[in-house]
Amino acid sequence: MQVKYIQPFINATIKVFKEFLGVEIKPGQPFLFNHNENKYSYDISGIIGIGGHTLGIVVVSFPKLVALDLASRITGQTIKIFDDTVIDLVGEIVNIIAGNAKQGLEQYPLVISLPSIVKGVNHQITGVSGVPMIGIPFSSKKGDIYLFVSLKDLITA
Amino acid sequence: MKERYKWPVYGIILGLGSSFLSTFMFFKQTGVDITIKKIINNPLSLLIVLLATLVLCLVFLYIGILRDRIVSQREETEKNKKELQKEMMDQSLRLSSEINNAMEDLRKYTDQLDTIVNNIDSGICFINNESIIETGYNDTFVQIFGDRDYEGNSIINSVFGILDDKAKNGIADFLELCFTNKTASESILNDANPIREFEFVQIVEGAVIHNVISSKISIIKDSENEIIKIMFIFNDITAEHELQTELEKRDRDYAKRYSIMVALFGNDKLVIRRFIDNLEGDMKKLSVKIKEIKQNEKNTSIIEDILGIVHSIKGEAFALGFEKLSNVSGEFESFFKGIRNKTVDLENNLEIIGFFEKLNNEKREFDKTIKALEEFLSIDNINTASLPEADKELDLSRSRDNYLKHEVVSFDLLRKELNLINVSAAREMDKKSIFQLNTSLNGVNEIKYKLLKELFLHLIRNSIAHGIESPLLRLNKGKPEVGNIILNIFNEDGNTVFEYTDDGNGFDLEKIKNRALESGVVTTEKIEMMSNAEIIKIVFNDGFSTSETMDVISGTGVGMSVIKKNVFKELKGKFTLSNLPGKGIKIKITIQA
Amino acid sequence: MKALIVDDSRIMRNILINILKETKVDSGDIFDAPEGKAALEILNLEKIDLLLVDWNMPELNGLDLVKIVRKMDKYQNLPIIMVTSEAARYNVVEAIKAGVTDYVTKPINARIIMAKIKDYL
Repeated sequence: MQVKYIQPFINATIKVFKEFLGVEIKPGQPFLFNHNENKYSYDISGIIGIGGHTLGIVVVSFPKLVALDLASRITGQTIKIFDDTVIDLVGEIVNIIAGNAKQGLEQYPLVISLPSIVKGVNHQITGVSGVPMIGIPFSSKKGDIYLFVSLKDLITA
Repeated sequence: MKERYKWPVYGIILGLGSSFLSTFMFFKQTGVDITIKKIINNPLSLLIVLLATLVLCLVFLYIGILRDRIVSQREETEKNKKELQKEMMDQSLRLSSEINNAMEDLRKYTDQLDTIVNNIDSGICFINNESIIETGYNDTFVQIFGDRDYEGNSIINSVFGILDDKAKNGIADFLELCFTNKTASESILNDANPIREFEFVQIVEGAVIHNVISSKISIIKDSENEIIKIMFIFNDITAEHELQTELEKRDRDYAKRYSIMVALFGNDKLVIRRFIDNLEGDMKKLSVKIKEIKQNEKNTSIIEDILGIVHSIKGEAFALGFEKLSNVSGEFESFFKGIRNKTVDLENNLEIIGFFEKLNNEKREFDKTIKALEEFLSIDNINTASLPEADKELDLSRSRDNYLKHEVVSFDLLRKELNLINVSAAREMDKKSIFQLNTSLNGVNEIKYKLLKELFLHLIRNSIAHGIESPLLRLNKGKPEVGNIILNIFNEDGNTVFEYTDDGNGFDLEKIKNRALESGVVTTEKIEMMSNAEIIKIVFNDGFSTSETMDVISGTGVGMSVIKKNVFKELKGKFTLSNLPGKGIKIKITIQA
Repeated sequence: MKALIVDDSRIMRNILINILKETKVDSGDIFDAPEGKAALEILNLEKIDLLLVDWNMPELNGLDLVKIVRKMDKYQNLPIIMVTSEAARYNVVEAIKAGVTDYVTKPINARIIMAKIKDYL
């Protein structure tokens, strides 16, 4: 797993939160993600698939409260129900993150999929087999957002 | 007879009749006796009659002709109308049949095309010279690229949309090339196809799907040899591609394993085993240390610790010839050297995890190879092939034991292995010692070997920790600077004898006494009654240590008790000890050959 | 059916001549030239039906030869097969733009080139 592929996603996440949502988030200590540990809490994730010289997924996961807060910020009204609108908005945010990250990855022969959304309390996130999933927490006032990355280098250059 | 001729005849008859009658009546009224004969004979009256007849005849003739003309005109119009109607009918019939035929042809053609397009495994779509996808893309095309409405959209945006801009430009140029070069054949155009193979990533129900797609084009021209559209043929070649990657990976894995195996065979079994044990421990330590690194803090001490561990893995792996493992830990080490004086920020932290995983991967590969090798070498390997999966592991370990019983391990290996312990312990304790093993015997079986190795490992560590004095002290005592540890192995009365000597200080009886009293192993009264030999025996009891500090080499209190256990319990042997205070010790172990 | 082979290597020309003979072109109808200018003379004198041309040649190279040939009225639809060692994709694109009909990369495979030639006979 090469950091050069992950860094653009971290930068894009911070940038999108700051510029698009007006939320300052701070990346925390990265960890090796183990789903069974059950330490992390999130309710909705946007999954981006990556192919090319590296293969795997990048996931942005939000707890319910953060998602509701973000939706309220975007729409300008207080949203308290976790409904399709919120899900759509999360999808849009992840879409923008992917788009921004793509700019930082232009020099690498990578293919990035359109994001898709998975929801449910601590839903299963599976990385590429045989490759660990690295989690990077971002702390915000309403809770932690996670960036999960699992990439398998097909070509190590 | 025609109508027009009837009328003048009517006129003549009527004219003749009526003029006769009227003339006759005229003369009669005027009182003139008149007969027909008279009229005929009278030229005047005849003239009048004839004249009247003629006039009437002409009038009727005219009427007849007029009527005839009107009738015939009407008939003509009627006839024309009918003809026109017929003609129109014919024409429309002809047209509709033509249309029908054309429709039929078209249906046949589209049916044919549909059959072709829908019954082949390739995804097919047609694009026009504006890169717009036309109707007629098939189900496979939708299967490959996902269920969306493609018709009327640009192929670059809707299919290649997720490719990077460089690739997109390539496709645009290529399509232009296809549409503008009439002389080029399909095969040469396909040679120029920039997306002959490309990767397509999509997420279906939360799962990321990576597909490798191949594309080919086919040019569709009209009768005037003008290119009207291009048919794209897409194939999902993920499986083939995976197989190829798998094969390449297997080749790489084999190469890697081969190099590990070469290194394994090039070294002594026990040296390797020791290395594996160390590696296991080092990796555990490393993972703990890596978790301790906190973001944005200077963690000089943890970084130093990690550097130490990684350095030793690198060094040992290099010495034994495990090239890849050594390289990876080398990269890890140089990375750490680079960040030693900087803060460990997020990026570095990610790198550390990345390097750790890389190293862990190498270790896994290493373990796998050794396991595979062990399985291969185990004697009952062939029989286990037919065993159910659950029994297999059990049986393998049994067969391994079986194999160990038969395998004779040479004392040459013991010499090397113990020498390594001697060197590393001496270095650690800042002492100087030489280890010698003299024997003319071959060796012992693996099980005995293990016990003996463990036994002498502890003896040597203790000799260096407690027996051999520091170089300066030795020189002061008039001894050579370098201490000697000698192990002689020989046969005596059918038994194998291990004679171990060191030229250190011997057992320090006072120290043992104090230590024993301190730890409460014996009482003061009892110790006064004990002989020197009995006091020394305390050393070999569980949990006894004369070391003040717990160091790596000795002092854990388990060392010497192992000797007792191994000799008496495991090897069923005998043990004699002579202490030469100030001059060293001599231990004689006798076991059955 | 007349064919012209343009290649600066004599051996290569012989190989291609032999392949053409296999595809039942009369040996009297097979012309060859070592470079573009000589080829143009033959193309002007004869009515050629198939042109096999190398890319890199002294004097007039293959690509320029193709460009000139395509401007000649009688050769608008002439099948031109380029037989070359330039295998990169951008070379193929360049060849297409010059007017080449088909492309075979060296080292040539007799079976492949024969199949291609048969397409144009």
